[in-house]
Amino acid sequence: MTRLIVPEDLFALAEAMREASGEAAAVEIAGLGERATWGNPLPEDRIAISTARLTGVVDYAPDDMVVSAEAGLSLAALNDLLSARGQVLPLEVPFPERTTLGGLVAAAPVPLARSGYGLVRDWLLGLEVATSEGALVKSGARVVKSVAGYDLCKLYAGSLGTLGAIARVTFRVRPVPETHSLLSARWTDAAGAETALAAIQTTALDPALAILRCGRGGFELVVGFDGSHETVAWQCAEAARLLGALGGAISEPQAGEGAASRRAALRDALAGSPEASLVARVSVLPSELLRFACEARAEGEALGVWCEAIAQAQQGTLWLSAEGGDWLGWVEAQRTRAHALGGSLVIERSPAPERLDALGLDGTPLALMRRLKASLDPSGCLAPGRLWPLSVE
Amino acid sequence: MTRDALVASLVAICGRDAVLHRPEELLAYDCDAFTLERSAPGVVVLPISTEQVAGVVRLCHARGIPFVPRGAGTGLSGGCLSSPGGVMIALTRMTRIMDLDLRNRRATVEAGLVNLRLTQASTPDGLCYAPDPSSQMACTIGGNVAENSGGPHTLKYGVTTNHVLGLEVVLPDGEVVWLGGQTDDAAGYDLRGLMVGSEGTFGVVTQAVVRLVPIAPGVRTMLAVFGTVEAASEAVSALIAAGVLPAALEMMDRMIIQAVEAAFGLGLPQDAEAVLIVELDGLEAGLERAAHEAVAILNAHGAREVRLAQDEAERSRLWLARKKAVGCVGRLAPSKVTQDGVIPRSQLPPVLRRIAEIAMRHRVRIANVFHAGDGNLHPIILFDEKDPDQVRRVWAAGQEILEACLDVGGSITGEHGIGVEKRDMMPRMFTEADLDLMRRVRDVFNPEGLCNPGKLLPTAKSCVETTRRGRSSEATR
Repeated sequence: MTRLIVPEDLFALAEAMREASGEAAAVEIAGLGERATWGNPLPEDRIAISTARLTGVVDYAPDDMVVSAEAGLSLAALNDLLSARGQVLPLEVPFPERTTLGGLVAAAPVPLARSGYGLVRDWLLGLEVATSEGALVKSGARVVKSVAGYDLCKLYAGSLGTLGAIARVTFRVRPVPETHSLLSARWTDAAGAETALAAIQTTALDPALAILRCGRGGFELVVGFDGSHETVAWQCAEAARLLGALGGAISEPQAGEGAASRRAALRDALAGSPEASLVARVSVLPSELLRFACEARAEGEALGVWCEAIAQAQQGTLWLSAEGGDWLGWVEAQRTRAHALGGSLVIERSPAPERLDALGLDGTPLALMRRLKASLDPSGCLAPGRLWPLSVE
Repeated sequence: MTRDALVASLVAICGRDAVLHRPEELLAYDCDAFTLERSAPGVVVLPISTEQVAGVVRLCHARGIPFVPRGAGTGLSGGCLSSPGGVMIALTRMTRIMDLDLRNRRATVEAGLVNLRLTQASTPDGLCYAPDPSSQMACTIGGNVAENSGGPHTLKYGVTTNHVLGLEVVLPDGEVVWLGGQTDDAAGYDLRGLMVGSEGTFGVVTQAVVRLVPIAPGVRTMLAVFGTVEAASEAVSALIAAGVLPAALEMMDRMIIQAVEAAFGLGLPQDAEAVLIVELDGLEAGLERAAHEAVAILNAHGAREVRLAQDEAERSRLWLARKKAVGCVGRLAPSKVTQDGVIPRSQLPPVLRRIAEIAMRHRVRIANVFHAGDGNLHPIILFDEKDPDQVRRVWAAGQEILEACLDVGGSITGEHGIGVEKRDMMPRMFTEADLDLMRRVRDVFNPEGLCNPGKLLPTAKSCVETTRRGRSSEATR
């Protein structure tokens, strides 16, 4: 049984947090639900506190390129507001209309144009959080640079509602780039694609995104460029020349509306294939990426698991979408391989969440995380078990 | 444990030549570049490996001895000031580049590596380490991690935390752990992000995996001369508001210009009230137009003259002058305090006016050289630390400058850290509940409080200390 509370302002949120943590063993913070199932499953019996009525823009200073808003506002709505002043929060995460700012910070999904703009943590300047003890606490600042005190923004980004309810956020923003375009190249063999990935790292090309897709048809690399007309045109021509010389079948560059809608589709593809019941996000070194993806697909075939992969070529982040067969044995093998390479594997969608630990944390980092959780949420009621299964508690 | 026994134990861990304990040896370690407070450590130890650091920390933990990590001592907030009788762990012998991974654009380095060395090592391959504090010729990567250091080019490229992927840390009980690692993403709480900027209070960083970024193929560096500080700050606001994204945007005022001119002879007009250094970088394509746009904005806001650096030599000289500016001002007075506050960029003109007014009222000289594009002010207060009355006025003026930053919604530090200097200002920026949360986080990492005690967070007795401010030059010397 889940009971829902919808506080109307920050103070009501803090009060709801205090009351709920006294009443329930489990309290969940709810946004628009896009990533509500990330992490391990929560106990059935819980109170959900929704940010649906916290949708105000607190302060927007276009000249300072800083915006503060309440947690329940959607990323799409924020960017609509910013675009009226020619600015943008360039975090292209899947389904921005179903992503609240609070959820953006709490789940910290990886954005598409990461080569150009980094992660949620790189744009987040400040936070106000309601703790399970009912206090409203802030960290960070509303200026573009501050090192006053511990950087708790980093701690809350990606904490999945386990440490507090994010009430308000402050982001820096930037001007909308003058123009952008996309170019893709295909290879039928992995060796050709790997040569291209390595080559891009040694050129002057400065893509905003470099997305690699691995499927039955071979390998497709999509590079996207943002900036002035001159830099985008130069880079498109240079990328076509470079990738063509490396044996890639080059597509006609896309610009304008065509590029925008392709880019939105790529962005949403980072949430995983709609046909897949399992989506895992893997992080390895960029140089290991292609081999990892190919082996994952080969091992899938052996276990009757259908699998496709989409990856950020310059960061080594890979989303594996899978379906059928011995998916559990397969994904555990992928996690073992990722850990052996010094990386990680996090489940973002699971057919049976109770059978597989979503994050696979262990050792001293897990011990530190458990102590942080115990210290910042002494009641232990905030999303218990989400980051590590309750059996570990 | 007696001091002799402590020294003997440290010698057993690190070797005789790695332990300093005679008063004359300790003198160089009694402060960092914030010289208003001094406190000599009981012993300085110079380990050469993570194992040695862990051994020293385990000893301190077992014996209840406070310890503090130290890099090059270029910090500006007293962040590595030792507790009386404490052990200082100087990481300056751990300077190896363990791995330079060009394909993946990252490097693994020891904490004592000097910042600039990393850029020098990767430049032949077209890469660099982006955070470039003015002290980059001396400061260490470990120190940069502790302070989350910035620098002129962090306007475009981000500060230290945006470039750190993983950290090897000796926790305050002596356990060695990696937070984050070689890969871009780690699962769970972002512990490496939390560690960056923790001012050495969560443990001793011994290695870091950092990102390297490609050196921009094209660069345009210009110097714009202004008749008033007002006009220069209006131009900064206009550049930012127009969406120009410079790699760096720095301001120097008249006192700095004159000091820099005396040292470097750049041919700066002596009657200029302010100059801006504006640097644009990126691909050659499009750079020329961006530079024209910037020049037009500068001219429209009353620049008397805009000079474009003609070659790399001229550009280097300009940056050398900028990075050595604080040092040059040192000629003007026996002592100086470099303040560090941040304001919204649109507030530059009124806040700079207020700083001038504060200087007048407290009868101190203040020179300004700062990261204008970030709104990160560095008023340098000049004085003579032998004169207690001047010291009092310097403290008061510094305090008021930070209040001025807070009044417009800013921060009391953009890149120098809290250390001991601004510990007692923390309650002006944060509520008791905010600070309580920070204390809880610190206690998770550092439950006994032995690791760099007395830094960053105000202590219960700090109210008393505040009233004695203006203070400890006598008490601690």
